[in-house]
Amino acid sequence: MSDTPVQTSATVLTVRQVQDYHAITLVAAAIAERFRPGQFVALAVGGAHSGRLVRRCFGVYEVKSDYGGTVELVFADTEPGTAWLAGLRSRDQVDLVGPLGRPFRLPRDPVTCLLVGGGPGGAALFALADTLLRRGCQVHFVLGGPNARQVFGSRMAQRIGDSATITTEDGSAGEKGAVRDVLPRVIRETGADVVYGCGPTALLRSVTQVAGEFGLPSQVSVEEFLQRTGACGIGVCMTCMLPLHGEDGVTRMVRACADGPVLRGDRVRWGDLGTIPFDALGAPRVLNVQEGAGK
Amino acid sequence: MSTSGRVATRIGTLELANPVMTASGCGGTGRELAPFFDLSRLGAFVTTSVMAQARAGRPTPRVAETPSGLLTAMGLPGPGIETFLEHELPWLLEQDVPIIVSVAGNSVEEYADIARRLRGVPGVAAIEVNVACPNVADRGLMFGRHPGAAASVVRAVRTHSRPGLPVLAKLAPDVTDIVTIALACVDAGADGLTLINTLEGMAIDPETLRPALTGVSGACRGPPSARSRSAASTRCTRPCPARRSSASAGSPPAWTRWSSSSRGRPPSRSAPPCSTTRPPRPACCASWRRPSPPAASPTSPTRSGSPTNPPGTSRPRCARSRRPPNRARPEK
Ligand SMILES: Cc1cc2nc3c(=O)[nH]c(=O)nc-3n(C[C@H](O)[C@H](O)[C@H](O)COP(=O)(O)OP(=O)(O)OC[C@H]3O[C@@H](n4cnc5c(N)ncnc54)[C@H](O)[C@@H]3O)c2cc1C
Ligand SMILES: Cc1cc2nc3c(=O)[nH]c(=O)nc-3n(C[C@H](O)[C@H](O)[C@H](O)COP(=O)(O)O)c2cc1C
Ligand code: FES
Repeated sequence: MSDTPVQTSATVLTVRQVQDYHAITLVAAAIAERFRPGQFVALAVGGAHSGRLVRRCFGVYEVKSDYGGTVELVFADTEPGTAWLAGLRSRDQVDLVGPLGRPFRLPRDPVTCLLVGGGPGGAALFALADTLLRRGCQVHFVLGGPNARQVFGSRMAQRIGDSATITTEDGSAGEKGAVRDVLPRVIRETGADVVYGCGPTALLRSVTQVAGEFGLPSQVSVEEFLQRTGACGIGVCMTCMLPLHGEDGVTRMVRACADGPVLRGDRVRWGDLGTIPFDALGAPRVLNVQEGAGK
Repeated sequence: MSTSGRVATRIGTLELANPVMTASGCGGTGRELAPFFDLSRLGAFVTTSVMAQARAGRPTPRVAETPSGLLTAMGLPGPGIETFLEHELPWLLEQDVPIIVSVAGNSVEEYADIARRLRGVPGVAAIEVNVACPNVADRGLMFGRHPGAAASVVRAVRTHSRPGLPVLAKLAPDVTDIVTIALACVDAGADGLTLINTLEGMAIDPETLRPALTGVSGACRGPPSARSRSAASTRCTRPCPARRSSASAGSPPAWTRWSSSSRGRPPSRSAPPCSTTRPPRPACCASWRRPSPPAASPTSPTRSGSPTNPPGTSRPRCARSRRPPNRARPEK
């Protein structure tokens, strides 16, 4: 087994609708064998002659050993590229690169873990949960979304987790409210030692904040940010940059795909996402009059 | 590495085993590409343009997908020459492939400074001068838009780099007459020309009515297939200005390129079926700037025999008018 990513033409096994999302299973033995929880794959969409050049990056919901090795991804059909994916049929081919990015760091001891997810991003937590359970960790879920159809995997979480707390904004499943509202209570009740997160940026920000208040380490996957900004997934295009506060106190712009997608929550400058903070390494300096006139 | 064989290529004194090179900025630091193929199979690896200081580049979003290709506005992010020499170049030089260092700057002195820093580095096969950078001393006007300015940076690099080291000038396409600029660069000491840097373009988000990129306009790059598909519908038959210019510059760079970057696919997959008779790039993916004011454009736009189209002549109007109503329109 090697940890270098591969590019392969994968055969579609199934595409099915799950709640408000789509789940696609692809036969990709080399990727399934190398995959570690938290890593993602980058798909080319639109076919060989498409003008849609941006690769779509998705976390992996599950890898299985059937057919030599399959990977299953969960995504929301939000734009023409994902609509194309949702329209694929069995036996179609997809150009797939993976597994990419840094995985979730795993605790050495069997500790209590809280896994917090939102929207389709919650899917990536299940592969992590499997690994943690195998290591004897306790796994508690908190999953949230706007409504019951947009909380991915609530039943699965109840089945495999030691506990599962569901929140929806409209109260159609679980508790009415946001993930943030229940997090302090769940952390207290479960006695969590570490918090993992995957989902929308706002959710990750509150996960990090609440974990910080309890003095817990947080590992978050910025997969959703990568989906919005990234183009290659392998670290060459520099489109997925986000500001990260380094050990040495210097903020650097790092690549969500290659330096992430799993990052220490407390290192990410959440408030500055989408900007180049003025104190980041290489940020545009205050322009003098001569420079300012030009650009 | 053998330079014999039918695909061996020579650019000035630079000898390459084959004509396939990465496009600058599309191969990252090289480490990102290495898992996918053996770098030593390339004719040469061209680095991302390196500047004097570390640069964070532009805020996100830096990329916008359009039906005519990918728009990007990076702002030349990079670690700066110091970190580049310390952490990136040594690894590249260990690979069994010629390394061409692409240099960029905001002033003639910056180009000269980088060339001086590279002078002492053994193993660099050539320098590529990216002239598509704003010149701070000239109100941010791109060096590559002006023959004199383009020549001055090429000359600066030529003067300060190791004698005999091949220098390539990478030209910017959005100019009135690329031939004049190419000739000026050759006169200034360029051993070869790299054609071409990306074309300017702009996309508007139809919902926010704001530019899709933080950098407002960006560089259009994309699948020849997607572009020629839209070009084909307009039946453009003019020869490609860039192609011709390389011929008239006397030393056509005899290599092809592929950017592995964002598409990450081999070029064959996106090559149009009729690539030999590929029509010129349609205007729908690039913004055609109004002709620059006369002061800033010393070359006559109507030079006879010039391959560039004088504004207002019979250039076919591309798919613009057939564009579906909610698609982003190019900047005028
Ligand atoms: C992420 C990224 C980072 C980059 N960073 C840098 C950098 O740091 N420094 C730097 O110097 N450059 C940089 N570039 C520019 C890059 O090096 C290339 O110059 C640029 O992408 C164009 O090359 P290409 O292979 O994409 O297109 P090419 O295939 O070379 O084509 C260029 C244009 O010419 C058109 N064309 C090609 N052949 C024909 C023909 N026969 N007839 C008519 N039209 C034709 C194409 O449609 C296209 O519009 C970067 C590009 C990217 C994508
Ligand atoms: C297909 C097309 C090609 C063009 N090519 C050039 C060109 O090569 N150089 C240039 O300076 N302007 C070019 N232009 C810009 C036009 O000359 C003109 O300035 C612009 O379209 C504005 O005129 P209009 O409002 O009547 O369309 C082009 C425009 C189109 C639509
Ligand atoms: S997506 Fe290309 S560098 Fe991250």
